[in-house]
Amino acid sequence: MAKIVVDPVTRIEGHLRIEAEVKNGKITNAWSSSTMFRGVEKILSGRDPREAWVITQRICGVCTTVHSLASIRAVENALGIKIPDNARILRNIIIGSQNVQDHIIHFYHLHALDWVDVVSALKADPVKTAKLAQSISDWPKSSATYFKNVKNRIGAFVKSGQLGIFANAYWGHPTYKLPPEANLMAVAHYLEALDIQREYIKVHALLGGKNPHLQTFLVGGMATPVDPNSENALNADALALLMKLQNKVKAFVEKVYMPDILTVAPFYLEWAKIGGGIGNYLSYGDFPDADGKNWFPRGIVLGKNLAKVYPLDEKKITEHVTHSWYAYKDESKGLRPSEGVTVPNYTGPAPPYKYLNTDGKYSWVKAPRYDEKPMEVGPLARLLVGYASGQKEIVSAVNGFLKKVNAGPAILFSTLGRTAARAIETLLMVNKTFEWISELEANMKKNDLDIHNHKWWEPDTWPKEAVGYGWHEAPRGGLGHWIHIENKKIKNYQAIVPTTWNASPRDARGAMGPYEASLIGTPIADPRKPLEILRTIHSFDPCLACAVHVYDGKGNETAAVKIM
Amino acid sequence: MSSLSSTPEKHCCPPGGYFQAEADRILVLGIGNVLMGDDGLGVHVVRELQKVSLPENVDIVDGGTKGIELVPYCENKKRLIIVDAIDLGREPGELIVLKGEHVRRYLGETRCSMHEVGVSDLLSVLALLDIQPGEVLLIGLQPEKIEVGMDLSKSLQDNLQGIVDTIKDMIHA
Repeated sequence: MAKIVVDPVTRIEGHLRIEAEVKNGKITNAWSSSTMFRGVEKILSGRDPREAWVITQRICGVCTTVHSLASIRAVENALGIKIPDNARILRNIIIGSQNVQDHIIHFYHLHALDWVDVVSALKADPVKTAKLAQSISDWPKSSATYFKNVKNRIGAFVKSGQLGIFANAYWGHPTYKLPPEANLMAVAHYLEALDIQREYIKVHALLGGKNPHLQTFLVGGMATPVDPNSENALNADALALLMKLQNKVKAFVEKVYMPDILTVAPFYLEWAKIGGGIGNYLSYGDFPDADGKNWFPRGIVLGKNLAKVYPLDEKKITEHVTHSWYAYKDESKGLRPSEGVTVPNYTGPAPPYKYLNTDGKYSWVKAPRYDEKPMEVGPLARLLVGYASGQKEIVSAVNGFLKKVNAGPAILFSTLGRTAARAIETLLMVNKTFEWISELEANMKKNDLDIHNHKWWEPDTWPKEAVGYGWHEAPRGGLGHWIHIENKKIKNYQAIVPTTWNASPRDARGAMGPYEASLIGTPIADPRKPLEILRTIHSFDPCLACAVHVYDGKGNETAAVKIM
Repeated sequence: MSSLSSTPEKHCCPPGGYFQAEADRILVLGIGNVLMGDDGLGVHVVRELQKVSLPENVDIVDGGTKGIELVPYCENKKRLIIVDAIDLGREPGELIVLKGEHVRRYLGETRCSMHEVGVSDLLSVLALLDIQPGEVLLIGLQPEKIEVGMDLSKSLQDNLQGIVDTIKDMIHA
């Protein structure tokens, strides 16, 4: 297989690269690296803190909204600004729907094809496919004619040579386990998910303006007015349309997404024992209610022990650079993000290179640690912290799922668990959004239309110096922004994105990051086609395009592929 | 920056407009990362176009580095004009226009930046869902340097008006 060259890229999130050693058919060692420098912090210094969110929303090409929110929360935290209730509700609706939308895209378009063989789908019998689909839900589209059309459409697309999104895959790999009919059903749902998403994205147009980058955020609240009697505000008509879109996506999640997970999972039960990794989980918590209590709770679960949740102490978050291409004065320990520095120190090989020097520094990703321990973040971390905290809705949703697959919570500590958690969470968030819409309606009925706290808008009202942080549970996991304001300007800015936690390289003590640890012990059927690595890394929902390199026991590269 | 007027700007946009799929609509889609110097060209051009008066059937969208999230903005348009930094090893600032098969070939072969993967996926999805624009054009300037920073390099700055005028001509063509 030809080596795919990873150029320096222009998107700041950068490339992910995995190097793995395989012995006797199993991964024995792994390194996770990003080969692209992220240096956005230096753009922010000296700027008005109120405009930081406009810049941070461009940090990542995919997750724009989440960086806006973390940034305004950081400024509000630093300046002690309380936001009006309507702003809280609008933010919950926006981030809830963002999670739902991202999870659907992730499962169908970034992960499903690790389990679903498109080429096998072309051998399926549409009549049998319809029978299978009808047996799992009463989704109205599941007819033989429908599946026959899908099969023809995909066949024509593949034949035309426009592989595009279906390229770079290992069709026919021996670890694809689904029968052709299940493959065809999943491919049909892949297309439906694209349709649903192009409809559901209009939620954001309703709430944040017709712009792929939401314009509605504001330090101190929101910019989109709510007023039942105004044409130029979020009014009753807009709320009705919002409900309609929510109902549509709810039907899809209940009748397609979750049933698909439950149909596919039994064919891949060995993946409930693979990919667990670190076993420490961090959730910042999010979705505050009117009293400020988070619907998804904040906390830490250690060593896969669901009997105890530790409180999250901001002071225990540090970032190490011992194996990252940055310089600290003392690299034997981490620095708190509020005191963090971003001084690049590239010591890696000059491209083009074959391997990184993984004994030394080998990644542009820093190594965040909580109380000196690596942490996994993401939907699974959120659900486990919620489950262990006894949050009723989460406990009930997780137990409901476990009952359906006839297993205990131990299966969640795995690649399959991560993928299931994302679906369980999607369902929870879809349903909760209706409550938030009702809250907003109730406020509007009381003529409470306040969306912005102007009190601390003018920089003259600010203290000479202020520090703060903004936390948000983004689709991919806990996101934190740290800000230091001095003389009305940003003095220092640091962000720890979810993928930084998960894709972290080793730390000062040599402890692996979550991706690295999750790959150890994974069986590899064919080292030239490391589909198994993609399954586990994709289950984290990495926010990077990736390059995976697999070595055989002698250290020769046997494959180089790009994870999309 | 619009969000920094002394009283916060209020605005809300009911859906419609960009999502209208009438057969005569043209979309100018600016692509790129404004934090990475010349890579942000498409967004800079779109910001210039937003200042001028354009025919009613033209929509202008800042797509940043997004990919398939842009599907609803692009579907069934008469013409999709993608504006981006285009690296073909020419003189910095040189105007480049790619049409038809050349667009796909450029996106498929070079892949020198992440968002080009995104645009490539966007076009694949539009094809897969059979909602392709009637015509896809890719217009841009040869970048000089792509590194952290929010300004275009001088060679691109000097040619910014030229590309804006060319796009205006394309819209009226």
